[in-house]
Amino acid sequence: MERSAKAIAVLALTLCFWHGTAAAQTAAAPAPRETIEADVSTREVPVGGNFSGTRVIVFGTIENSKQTTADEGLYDIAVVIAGPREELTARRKANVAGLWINASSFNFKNVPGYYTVLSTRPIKDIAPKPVLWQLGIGFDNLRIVPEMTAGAKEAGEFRDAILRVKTQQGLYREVPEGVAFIGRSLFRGSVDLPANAPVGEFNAWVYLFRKGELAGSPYKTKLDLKRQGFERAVYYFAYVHPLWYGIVSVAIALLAGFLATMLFRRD
Amino acid sequence: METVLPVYLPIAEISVDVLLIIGMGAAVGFLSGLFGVGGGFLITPLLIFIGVPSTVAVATGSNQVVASSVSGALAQWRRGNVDFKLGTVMLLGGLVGSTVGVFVVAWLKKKGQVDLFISLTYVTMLGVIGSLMLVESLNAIWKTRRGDLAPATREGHSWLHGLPFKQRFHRSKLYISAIPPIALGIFVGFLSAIMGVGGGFVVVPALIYLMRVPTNVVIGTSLFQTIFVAAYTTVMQAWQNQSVDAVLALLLVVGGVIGAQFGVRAGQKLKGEQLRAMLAAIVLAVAIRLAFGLILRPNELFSLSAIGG
Repeated sequence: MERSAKAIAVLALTLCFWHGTAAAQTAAAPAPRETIEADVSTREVPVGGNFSGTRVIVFGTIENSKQTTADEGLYDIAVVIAGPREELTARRKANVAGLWINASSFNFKNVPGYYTVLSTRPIKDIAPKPVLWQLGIGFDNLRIVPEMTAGAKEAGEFRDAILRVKTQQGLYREVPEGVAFIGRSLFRGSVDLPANAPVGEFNAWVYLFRKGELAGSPYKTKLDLKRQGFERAVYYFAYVHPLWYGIVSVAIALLAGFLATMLFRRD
Repeated sequence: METVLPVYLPIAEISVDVLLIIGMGAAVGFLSGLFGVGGGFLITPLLIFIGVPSTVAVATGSNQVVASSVSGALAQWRRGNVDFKLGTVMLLGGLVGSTVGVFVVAWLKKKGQVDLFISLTYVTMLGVIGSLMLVESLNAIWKTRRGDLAPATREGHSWLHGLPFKQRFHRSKLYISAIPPIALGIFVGFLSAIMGVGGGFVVVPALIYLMRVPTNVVIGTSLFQTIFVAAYTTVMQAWQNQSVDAVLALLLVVGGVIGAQFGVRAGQKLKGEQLRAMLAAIVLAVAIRLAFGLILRPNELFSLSAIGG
């Protein structure tokens, strides 16, 4: 995976160089606008029995980059990776008669099961709040709205709780220096998908900023976490034929019990 | 903790260390072999502690109980220690109780109260049984020290003997109403679905002290009904709640059968009442640990779950 990413990076660098010389030849024309091209190192991540998380490389280039060096800081990059949308219930415990029990709850729709922002520096330094809000970049700008509109103040606490719990679970992250330029136009970042990452389709958006404004159109790509092999078979069996799954589970347990009895029989 | 051999559990949907699960199975298997209990009451809380959703923990616990009961049930059957009639009567009740339990789990899960209910049931049942066992075994130890002989408690008629629908249970040499065994079966079947246990810790004392079933038949009859009720509960949980993790169960069983062999050998070196006192202490420790989880203010008051599940 790492190797293929490197190969693509080298290819991308070569392309940039070629573009650079091409641009020099047409210096008289007005400077063309920057656009980005990007991709992820792995489009399909198999989730099998030995899945313990994976690292995905996000990389891309700025076409018509005006930067002369990697650390000139003319541009900023923000990468948003969002997992499949979930419908979830957030519950809050309260002390009732000495016991901590779930007392109040809110339902939320369209909560990303996974959400990571990689950027070249803290996102609040990259662009003003309205710009980030419009694009939905960063925890503060993520749309997490409860189904019921009543109790807006309380709902805010539940929203914060979702961000906090998901962060603790390693599913939500903001990485302020998660993307770096490695050439005047080539950038690269890496994102860790933990073992508990939800299975399904992930979207990755790459945004280019220049002087606090979005430059060019964002680049969007997908990656897929797919159940595979034995675990996939077990999962589908359990959900598609639950009765048979139960019967087979019992049969396996009985068989295991018999085998153990035969194996260790002493009389 | 460093994961040596990670495995992704397809139904629990978490990644765990194979060695940790097998080790847990072995530890509980050792205790089951030592004390002659199923060990479901230890497996379920341990699974919840390592992050397995509680509904998956109880359902997988039932699946594990099926495997761990086979060996004992066969041995008791070969020695003729099973009262099939009494076992079947209890089993009928057990199927009813288990069915109710499985639907109660599904309903409480929707309400967001399933974790609480499972914990409360554990704390109550283990607290009561553990205390009774501790008192009884300490008394027995104290009496043997003083040289008294434990009194035989076969005679004596309780209110249970005044109930109608009397049945003759030949193997147990009993002529009692069918109501107590059916009621016991319903109760244990319910516990089986809620706690993921075989229920021997309730059935055995109930048969001995309430129904006066001869001790040599008690274990065999209990195991006979346990294996069927646990099998039925497993199927129902898989069917209605999709909460049986067969991979997790198999790993626990592998550890369990190995551990049990050592447990049985270790158990032969200890006296009955000493074993019961140790088991009581473990049962109470689990109850106290779970009680703390309910009483202490949790670090995070909020929890997330899928809507309707």
